[in-house]
Amino acid sequence: MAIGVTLLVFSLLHLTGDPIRLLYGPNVPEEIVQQRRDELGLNRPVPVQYVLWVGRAVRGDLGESITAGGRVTAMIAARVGPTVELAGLALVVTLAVSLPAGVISATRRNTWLDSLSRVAALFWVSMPIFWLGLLFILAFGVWLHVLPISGRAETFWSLEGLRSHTLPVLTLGLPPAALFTRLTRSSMLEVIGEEYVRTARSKGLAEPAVIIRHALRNALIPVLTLIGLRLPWLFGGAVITETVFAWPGMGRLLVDAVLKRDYPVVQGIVLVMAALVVASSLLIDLLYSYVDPRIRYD
Amino acid sequence: MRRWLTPLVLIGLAALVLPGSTSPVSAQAGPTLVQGLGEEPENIDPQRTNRFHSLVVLSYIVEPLFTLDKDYKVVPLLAQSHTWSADKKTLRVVLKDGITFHNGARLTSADVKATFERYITVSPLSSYVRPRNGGIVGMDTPDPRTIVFRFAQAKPLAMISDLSDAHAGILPASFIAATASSDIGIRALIGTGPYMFKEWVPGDRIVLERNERYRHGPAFSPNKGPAHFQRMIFRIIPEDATMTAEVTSGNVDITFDVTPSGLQQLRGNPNVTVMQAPTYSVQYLVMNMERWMFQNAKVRQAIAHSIDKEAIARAAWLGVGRPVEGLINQATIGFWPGVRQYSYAYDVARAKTLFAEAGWRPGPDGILRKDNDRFEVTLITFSNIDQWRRAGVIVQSQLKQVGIDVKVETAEVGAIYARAQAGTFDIGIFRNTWWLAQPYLTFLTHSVNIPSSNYSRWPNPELDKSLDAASNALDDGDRERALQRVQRIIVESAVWVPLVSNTSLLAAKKSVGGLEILAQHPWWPVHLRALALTRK
Repeated sequence: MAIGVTLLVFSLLHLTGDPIRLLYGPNVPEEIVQQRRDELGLNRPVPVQYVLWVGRAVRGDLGESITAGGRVTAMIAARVGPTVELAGLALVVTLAVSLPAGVISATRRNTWLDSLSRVAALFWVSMPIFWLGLLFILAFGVWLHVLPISGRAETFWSLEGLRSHTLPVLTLGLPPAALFTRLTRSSMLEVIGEEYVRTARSKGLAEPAVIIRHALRNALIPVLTLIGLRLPWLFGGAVITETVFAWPGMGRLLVDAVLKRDYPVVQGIVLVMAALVVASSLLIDLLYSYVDPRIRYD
Repeated sequence: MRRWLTPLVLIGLAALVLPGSTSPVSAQAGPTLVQGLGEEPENIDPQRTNRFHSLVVLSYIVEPLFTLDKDYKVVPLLAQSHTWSADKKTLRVVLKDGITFHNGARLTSADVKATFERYITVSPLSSYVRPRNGGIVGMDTPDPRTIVFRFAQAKPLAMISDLSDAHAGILPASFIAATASSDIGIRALIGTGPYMFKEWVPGDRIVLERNERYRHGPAFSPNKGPAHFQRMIFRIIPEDATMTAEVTSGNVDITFDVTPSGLQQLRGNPNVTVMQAPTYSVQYLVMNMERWMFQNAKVRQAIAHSIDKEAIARAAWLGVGRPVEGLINQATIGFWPGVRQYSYAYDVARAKTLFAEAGWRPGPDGILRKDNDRFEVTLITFSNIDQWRRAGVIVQSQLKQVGIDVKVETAEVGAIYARAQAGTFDIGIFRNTWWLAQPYLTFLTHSVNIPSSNYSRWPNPELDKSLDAASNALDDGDRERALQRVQRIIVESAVWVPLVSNTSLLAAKKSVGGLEILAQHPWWPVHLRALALTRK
């Protein structure tokens, strides 16, 4: 997967212009542009460049940034933490909102709560992240002056940290909550009608215990599947969220690198993101067996 | 349990949204100035970068030997005096006494030599003084305060083009020797400037600390040092709307990265001061002279007459641009005001007459035709810069009025430069920013720079000769006359049609003082930003 993704990105980037001319602009003579191309090995055939890059990458060296001149590995290491933190917290928000909402919507089917949940889901799912972020900035940062507009506090575990994380995390976490709410609802509706749920009720278990221990746990399988499918989207959404909130994450580094044709940085980030998605998908697979003991991996 | 849960949740939420700082790095009253930066520098290594935002930051930290005053006159900064030889091949510079680097080491001629050795090797901007171009072939250091530059050819512009440029900012020789080149300007940077490099949190901020020993500010600065603010924080805020919100909310003290749309919002804010200054940036249109229809001068002139630059300034630049007549403007050293008399004014009737004289007549669809050829062209410009994309559409509409069918094709900057160099376009709208007429006009119009930076693909011996004369003249008067010829030929040819020059924008909180001093210097030199700005 990593080879496929990086090969595709590598090929596409090389079709879109010369990074050194882009970096230096038209005011720098061709001889100096050529000198820099030679230094960076950009005058070699594209397949050779790719093979050399792969050779270094397997040893943990992602090369030298064309624009900054620094080591790509160090650049990404400085930015991966904020992105994982943002995406992780956003996922927590997504689940914290969608699971209760989906359960309530299913157990109070066709009541006003269910209707409210459906309308809210439609509202959030229709909201582009970029637009939602700007609305949050206007409302909570500019008009009400209660939350930071942009930037990231050093640590999450402080009041200032919590405040600085609030808007970006909500911006990234709320729109997908709509989809998860709908899925949880439909999955719960299926499960609630099963015989084992009726059996649990007939044994005299309290309704919350029936819903949470018996119904929800079984309804979580498709939700876990959706989490796995939505992880790439979450990292993609982080790119936009990071730009709007000046969040110092990997997504913004990626945007800058793409605009400047900084091949090594783009490839490095794509590789890291692919690895994160693969690792997260593996974690989801392991969670299947935890949620449903009938699932075993031999 | 439930009785306690609700109040606890409410207290938590209240704490979260208690009115307080609306930025993790907020503008504090007193010792810190928070400056919004619209783009993160890749690095702030003076010798390796040529990016504007890198220059902005590094100019607070390192200093060149000379600098320029508001009239672009060279004034000493680290240098005390200089002497040129009669043939302009030897330049002797004596350094000021007692200047120290941020690490406490004394500035010596050995540091200057080590810096220029690095500059002419790695800087993309050192072309003029590189050895292979007749530049620096030797540097002598007869004593710790004297450096003698020896050039292979006369280099009369070296002082203004290189020795006054922060890209040739002096670094300690020991620092250059002991630091990996890839770490300079990323992990560390040492200079003699009014601020010292303290911290760079990638993607978030760059923090500088005041150089308490700084006392050698340039003559034009009322404050010779140290700077008023103890700390300078550059907050990196790439999104325009977010930057506007941060300025509006007072979390950013000052920013020089205001977009035209942001300006509209900030102008009405009573807590924000907005200022404008001319820039040397020029948006221009160029025709690909390999296309047969442009080889007729009347066609080119007709196109130039068809373009309403005022409309572009108004609609594409939202009022922060101004029409220009030359390929360089009045903010560029070497600009000749007389070029205006050769410019082609907006005159649709005249354009139509010229087209007719060139044999182009309107067809049944209103598009000009000559024999069996329909006048249809492709215009390329940048998709990711609003003012260029909009200008492309406006030009398309204006040329449609005179009977040219223009297809606008936009792409990102890199892809557009690649097309321009490959010649796969008919008309292009590009930009250029440089503060010196020479070598800027050579890059843009000399035949040796086809196709790397001269996108017209039009070799013109007369123009080349004048450009060479402007480069090589030892006498200032000769250079000025040669530059006048160059500017006249460029505008008269109508191969290039200068469009609009924008203004620099500044937005600052009302509590930021010293702006009136900045206003006296039309190009807001960084030394004034560092030394004059204060808190009211």
